[in-house]
Amino acid sequence: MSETATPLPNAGTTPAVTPGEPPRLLVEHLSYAYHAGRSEAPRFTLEPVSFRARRGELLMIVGPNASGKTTLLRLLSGLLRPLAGHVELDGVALDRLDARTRAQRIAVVQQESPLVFPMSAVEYVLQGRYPYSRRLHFPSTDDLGLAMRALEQVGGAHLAERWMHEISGGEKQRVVLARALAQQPLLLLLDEPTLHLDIGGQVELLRQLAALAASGRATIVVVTHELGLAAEFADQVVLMHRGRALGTGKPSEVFQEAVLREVFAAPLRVEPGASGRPRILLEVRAE
Amino acid sequence: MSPSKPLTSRRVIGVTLLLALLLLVVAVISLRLGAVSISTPQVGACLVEAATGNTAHMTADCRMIVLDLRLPRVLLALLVGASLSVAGAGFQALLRNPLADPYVLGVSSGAALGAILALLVEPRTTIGTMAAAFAGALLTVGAVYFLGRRHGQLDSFTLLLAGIITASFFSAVIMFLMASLPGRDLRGMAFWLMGDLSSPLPMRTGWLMLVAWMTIGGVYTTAADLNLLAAGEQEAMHLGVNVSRVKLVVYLAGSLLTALAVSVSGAIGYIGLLVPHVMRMLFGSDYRLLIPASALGGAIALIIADTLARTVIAPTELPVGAMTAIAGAPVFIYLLRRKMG
Repeated sequence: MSETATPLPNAGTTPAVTPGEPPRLLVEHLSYAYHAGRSEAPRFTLEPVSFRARRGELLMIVGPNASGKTTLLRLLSGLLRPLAGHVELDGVALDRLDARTRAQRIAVVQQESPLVFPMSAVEYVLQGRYPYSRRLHFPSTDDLGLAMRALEQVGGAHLAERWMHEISGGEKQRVVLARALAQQPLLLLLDEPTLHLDIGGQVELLRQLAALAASGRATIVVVTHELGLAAEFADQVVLMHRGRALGTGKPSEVFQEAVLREVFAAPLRVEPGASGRPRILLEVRAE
Repeated sequence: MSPSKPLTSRRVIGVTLLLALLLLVVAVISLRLGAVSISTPQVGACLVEAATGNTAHMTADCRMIVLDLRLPRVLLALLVGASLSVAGAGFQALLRNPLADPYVLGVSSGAALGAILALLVEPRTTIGTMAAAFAGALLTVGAVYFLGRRHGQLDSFTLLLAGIITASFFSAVIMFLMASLPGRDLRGMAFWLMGDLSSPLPMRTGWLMLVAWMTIGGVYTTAADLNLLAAGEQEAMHLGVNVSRVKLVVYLAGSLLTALAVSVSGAIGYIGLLVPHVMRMLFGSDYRLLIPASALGGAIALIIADTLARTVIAPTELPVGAMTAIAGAPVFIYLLRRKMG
């Protein structure tokens, strides 16, 4: 495999870190077990996983359904407490942050939950300013400016005064992303953000995320089962299978044909692409 | 309808003042109407004299009709209307269901059952009745909340069904208690169950007002959190909301407000559903405005309903709950059908 045209950030299992400066995201021996009842055997376990990501990196957690991707993401968000191991953000352990501080540093874009009451897009984005506000939180001009800038960043400025329930799925996805950006997070987590988008929308979203990551402030972690997108856009991937991390590193290192065939139970073929990134093809006829 | 601009504190104050003014107008009109009609200047003079303690020139009409008969009733309607509306708005965010309301959820029936049990055991201690109504309301919200879950998720239709069934079960128990007890005033009880503001107040309205407004104030401290909670519980957590604290505050406050309302006026339905809904249509769904607007709007709505209840077929009076149900039930059906859409 050839080297990439533009120098990729060193995204191996142990990326080089400036001495003295902790990595943006440090995950060490993180594990989890889900018990339905106290005395029962765990229904689902996440075996210890470790990786780290630097500022400005786009990391994608890839795997088939029920492989533990979303559990891992929820552990990173601090919403779920790990069984063992820990997560550090800029050298600070996650469990030492209170909810408000955590919301100032970590933003999460979830699979969509329906809104019960009508709300305009800009009101929705303004919710991202909540962790910075006092009790009743009437938005300041600064808050409004930040919300509008966040909408502009995702190409959604024109949506500001539309109702959330009247815009399309793709437009809604942008507004949800804008709310996360309005939080000005250090770490941006997205759970299957491409699920309801067509291929054009998927590529556009990933382009935006890659540009956001490259612009430097946030480290972005995306959970997806879209191998093709991960191969094309991720600086680093974590491949999950049945609650285990099978590999961590650049897509070209992790996406091995035999492994992917096994994990996804599908006739996949991996080819080196022109840009040094692997290309993943589906080959049903050739079998 | 195009979305409103993001909410400012100025708009909250403006709308609140506007509704307060409307409340005053409605209250004065209600004080004028009845078997003896009294002119606005007379009502005004009477209220000023009562407020300043200047009773020297007070007319008999003022003392006996306005102050003794009509004013307590208007104040009671104000208190009950505000409490039920805020309780409804709170439950709607807590349960993420625009159809939630103390009556529909069975909370009013739970409070009524508690109050009746307390009355049977010890009819004289008002505070005991209220405490029992509060306990009944708390237990009912808890029960409905757990019955309304499917696959670990709160399901809005299961929740409504759970509420309706709980309400009918409690009503049956109340009927049983009433029927098996000899010598009780059945018509009075039936009126009270339907929701009625004509019974004399068991304790000083001032104290009730204080408790109700403080509780509403308590709900208001969570207004910004309720906005986020209504948009999704997990998302609220991600945005730094202390979700369990907010839910506890609203759960306790909503139950207390319902219990207060029920122990003084029986189970008046649909105010908690109708008023927040209309306020949302008028002023948007932001809880920082919705809570004061619902409190004042609820007061206005119930004063109007009660004035109608005592004047439409005068000299006979209707229970005010019948008035609110006549207006509220069709709206509930409309909302339900639109939601199923």
